[in-house]
Amino acid sequence: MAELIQKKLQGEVEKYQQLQKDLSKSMSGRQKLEAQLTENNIVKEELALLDGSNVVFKLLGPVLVKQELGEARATVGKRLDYITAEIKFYLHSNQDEGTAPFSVDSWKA
Amino acid sequence: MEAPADPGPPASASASASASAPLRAPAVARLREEQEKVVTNCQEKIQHWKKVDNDYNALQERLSTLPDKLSYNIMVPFGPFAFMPGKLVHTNEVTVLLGDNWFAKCSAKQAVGLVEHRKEHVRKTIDDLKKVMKNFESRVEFTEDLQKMSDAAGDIVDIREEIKSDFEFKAKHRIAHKPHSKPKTSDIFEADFANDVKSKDLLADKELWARLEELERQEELLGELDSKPDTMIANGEDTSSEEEKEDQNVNVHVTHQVTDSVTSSSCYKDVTHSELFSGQLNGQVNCSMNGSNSYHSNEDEDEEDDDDVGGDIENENDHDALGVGDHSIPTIYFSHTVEPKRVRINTGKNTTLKFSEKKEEAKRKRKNSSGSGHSAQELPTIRTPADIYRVFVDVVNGEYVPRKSILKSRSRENSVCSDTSESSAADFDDKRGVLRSISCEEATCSDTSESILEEEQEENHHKKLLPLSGTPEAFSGTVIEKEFLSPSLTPHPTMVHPVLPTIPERKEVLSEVSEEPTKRVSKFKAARLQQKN
Repeated sequence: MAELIQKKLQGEVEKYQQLQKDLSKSMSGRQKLEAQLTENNIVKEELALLDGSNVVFKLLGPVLVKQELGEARATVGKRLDYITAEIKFYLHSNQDEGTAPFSVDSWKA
Repeated sequence: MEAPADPGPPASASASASASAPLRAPAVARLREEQEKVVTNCQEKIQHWKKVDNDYNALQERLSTLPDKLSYNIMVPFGPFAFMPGKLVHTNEVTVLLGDNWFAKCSAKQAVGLVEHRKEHVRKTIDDLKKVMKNFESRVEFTEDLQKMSDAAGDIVDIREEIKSDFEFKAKHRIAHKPHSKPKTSDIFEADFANDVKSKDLLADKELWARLEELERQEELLGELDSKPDTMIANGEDTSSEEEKEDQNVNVHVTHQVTDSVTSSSCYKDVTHSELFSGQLNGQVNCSMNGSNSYHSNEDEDEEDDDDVGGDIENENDHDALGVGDHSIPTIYFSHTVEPKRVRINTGKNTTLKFSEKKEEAKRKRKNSSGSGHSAQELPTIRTPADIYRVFVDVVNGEYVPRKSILKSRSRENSVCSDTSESSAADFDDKRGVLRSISCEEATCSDTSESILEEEQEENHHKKLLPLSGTPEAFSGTVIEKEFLSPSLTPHPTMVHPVLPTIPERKEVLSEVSEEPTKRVSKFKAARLQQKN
């Protein structure tokens, strides 16, 4: 009887730990995304400061590839949107994962 | 570039801050640690960003001087150890890293503009960090105080109330008018209670009850004042070091030590009489109300505990249990009490008291007065604020004028809250004069007053309890009770208390006479009746 309970408890503890790990992973991913978001915001603003006389390059590996200013602005804007969407997605998944540990806890308690 | 807020340490700090566990030194120490960590973290970040700012400044300078010459002769580094002489050309062309693998070729001036833009961002980050740091510094201060408090265990008292979830509310639940506004969180309340300086909310409330208590005690103590003033003090000091932690309703019996002749504005009391009630808690309250002038030297006392005996009419009044902590700071455990439903308090001008408990008290008093000639031994049991109103009914010309109660009535039908209208004010000014004149007469002859009362019983007076048209409000600081000093100074064997024994008898009459305790007498009628007598 006691063993059974212990086993169950063990299982729940593992589940809980797994959930914790997932949570921390998603947290770190989210932090990365947020950093990228701020960076891209700055790039966007700086591109806005430039005019057509400047040549814009993009670093692809060891190569600096020439880009047009307008193209660069568009690309950066798209990237920003993508990042914000990913953050939202992470938020939702976090919420789900966040509540689950608590339910496990309540069961344990 | 990182966000200035760090969720980790603040979350843990706030979590430990909001823990309702008893205040223990290690927890507080840990909280302080966490907060200090955050503060140091913030400081480091600020340092880092300041360095970045300096770098950008240097860069700006360089950019501004670079285009001065067409080309510079420099030593070009080749790998980690070698240099080669070379030339720096195209001094105005600068390739700027915009971030995220984007580059832009611009002139030196444009580059300066970009750098300026970045510096702006850095400055903003530094400001945010500074704000966070300031926030946490204040938190650290508070935690320090908390720590000191828990270490000292001196004149600071922790007040706790444990919420019982099975607590029934007979009154309506309050509905917030705004849908998402916070409900009143008054139940768990940890307050620092040092010299009545902090925790003003709780204190204000307690002061009111303390005032009522004080009025009661003045009555009692005047009878006892002659007999044993010193033992009171001794008692207080002895028992103040007792430690008790009780959540339930505890009868805190308080006796008042009066150094002056009674002044209504003296708001000081000693808590003694541990022998009367087991589990009694002692402490001392210093409340400043209405410019009180008789302050006892309670600075000698280590603890200042606020004790309050309250009853719950609508489950909202306070009931304090005084406790002195063994290892930690003295703690007051606070709990609400439920007043039995039969109690109804005079809450307005036209209401009367209906009180079955008074019958019991009346019986008790009768026993006392008939049984023993000992005076002032049995003090009235006061468990609730309702009791106070029950006990302290002014005797005006032999009649009972209950004092205006600030308690809410259960049924709400009689609820008239503190009446500050001019008419009533004028009214009770008159009454006060009447009362005083009358009570002066009473003062001279306690016997006659008693005889009058006895007559009343026999005559089966028509009066119910008159509304307190003539009585001052409980906290007005008027000195109605002054007049009862002299009668109480001459303790009468048959009169345990100047006021108390008469009340129950009076109530006996009441209950016998009428089954309509709630019959209301208008203030004017009451005045007329009074004048008749």
